[in-house]
Amino acid sequence: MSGSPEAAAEPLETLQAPQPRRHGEETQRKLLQELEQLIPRLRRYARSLTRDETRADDLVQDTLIRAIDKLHLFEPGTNLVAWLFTIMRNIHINALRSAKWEREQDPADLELPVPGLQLSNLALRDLARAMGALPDDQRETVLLVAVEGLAYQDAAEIMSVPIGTVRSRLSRARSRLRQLMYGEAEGERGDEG
Amino acid sequence: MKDSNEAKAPMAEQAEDKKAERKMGPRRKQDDTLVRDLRELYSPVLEEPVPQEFLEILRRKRTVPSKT
Repeated sequence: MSGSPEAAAEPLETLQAPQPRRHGEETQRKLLQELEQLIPRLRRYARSLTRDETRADDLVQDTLIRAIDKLHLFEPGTNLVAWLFTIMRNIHINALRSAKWEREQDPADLELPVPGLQLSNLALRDLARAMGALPDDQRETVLLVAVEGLAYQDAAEIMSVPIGTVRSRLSRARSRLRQLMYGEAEGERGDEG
Repeated sequence: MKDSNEAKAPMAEQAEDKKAERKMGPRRKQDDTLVRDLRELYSPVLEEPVPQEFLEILRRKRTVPSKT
């Protein structure tokens, strides 16, 4: 189309790079509103990823800035939570790779999936420890599917793994949690899905 | 008489629960309990006030004319 009269009439800068899709003012206003409402869930996911309150809030801040910068790439009508979680996870992984965040954590916090929790309920305290004992990938999968209620497909896309991996991680996590919470032997598996 | 009827209601509910429990199997029930407890475990952070700096990031975007 660069040779068309319409294209020729466009300013030079619009011809040099593909232009992002534009959201109308109303769409953008709604997206920002949704974004604001999702901040608590972003904080929850960030704490689960970092297991550190301060780093979690840094991660939320970085995620919000990136999300706003890339808002034009979000397709309205698709899953905004999954999109934001994907951004957050990518930032987190990049930070870990660049050793920006060294994993120097209080061993007591490592026991808890969400640091700083005040748990009066003994069952929840046990569950927190059990979650803390899960490998990172399994804990994250449990959080995305069981706590956040995301579809397996969305969880798979967020973690960049096949959907079968989500299923197997959940299955192993469930088995391990049952073992830790109810004393069930690890080999006792019947209805794994 | 009234008291005994009132006492029967929870018992009936309990019986229904046990029936449902038998139907779904103990492992399924454990999973349901785990999910319920996990949601409770992770819910306190949702009640915390949102830090102002997060809201400020969104506010700045709102005041800037849309480029997107």
